[in-house]
Amino acid sequence: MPDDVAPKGPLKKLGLFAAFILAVALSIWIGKQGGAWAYVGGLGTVAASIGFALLSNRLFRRETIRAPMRRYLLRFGVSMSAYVILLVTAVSLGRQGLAEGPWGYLIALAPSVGVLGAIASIGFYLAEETDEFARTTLIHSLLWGTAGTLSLASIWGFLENFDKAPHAPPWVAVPVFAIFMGVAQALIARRYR
Amino acid sequence: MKNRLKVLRAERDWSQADLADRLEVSRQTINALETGKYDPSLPLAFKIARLFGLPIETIFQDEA
Repeated sequence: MPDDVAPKGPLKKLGLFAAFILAVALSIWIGKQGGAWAYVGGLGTVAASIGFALLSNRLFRRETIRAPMRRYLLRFGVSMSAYVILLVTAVSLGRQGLAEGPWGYLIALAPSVGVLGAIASIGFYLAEETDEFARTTLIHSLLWGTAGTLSLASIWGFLENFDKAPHAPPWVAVPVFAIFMGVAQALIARRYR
Repeated sequence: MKNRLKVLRAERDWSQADLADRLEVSRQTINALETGKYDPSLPLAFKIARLFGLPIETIFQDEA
C-alpha cells in the first residue's frame, strides 16, 4: 500500500509531547478566561489531545498507519488546531469589545467551525475505514460517549430545574462527549489488547 | 468462535503485520481475531478463506 507511511523519530515524539503540554497550558488559560465551565472545555480539549496522541502513538512503535487513520489524524489535528486559534482570537476580540454588531456573530461562531470540523473528521473516518474491527470499536466508543453525555445532560437538567445545580452552557456537551468517548476508547483498547 | 488463524499464519511464517497487509486490515484486527475476542464478518471470513485456500469451516469452528 503506497498510501501508507511509517514515520519515526524523536522529533515527532517531542512534537506530540510539546502539543500535549500546550493543550494543558491552553486549558488552564481558557479556564482562567472563562470561569468554571471553561475548565470543562479545557479538560475536553486535553482529553481529545490525549486520544489524538494515543492514536499517533503507533508512529513510535513503527507500525504502519493505514491511509484512513492517517487522513483522520490529519483532519482532526487541523480542525483542533483551527479551533484553538479561532477560540483564542475570538476571546481576544471579544475582550477588546470588537464582537459587536453583525460581525459579532461571525466572531462568536468562528470557534465552532473547528469543533464541527473535528466531528466531521470522525464521520469521514467511519465512512473511509475499510477495517471492520477498527470501525466496530470506534462505533462502540461513540455510543458510550453518546450514552454518557445524554445521561449526564438529563441528570444535570433535572438538578438545574430544582435549583440544585448551576446552569451548564450547551457547548459543554462536546468536551463532555470527548471525555466519555476517550475513557471508553481506552477501556475498549484494553479489552482487545 | 474458535479459529486456526494463528496456526495457519505460523505455517506460512507470516507475522501478524504480514497477514494484516494481505487482508488489508490493521494488525490489531489480526490480534483480536487470533485471540478469539472478535468474530469476523462473512465478507472478511471469506477473504481469509480465499487467502489460505481453505473452506471457511476448516478455519473457523462454531463453539455452539
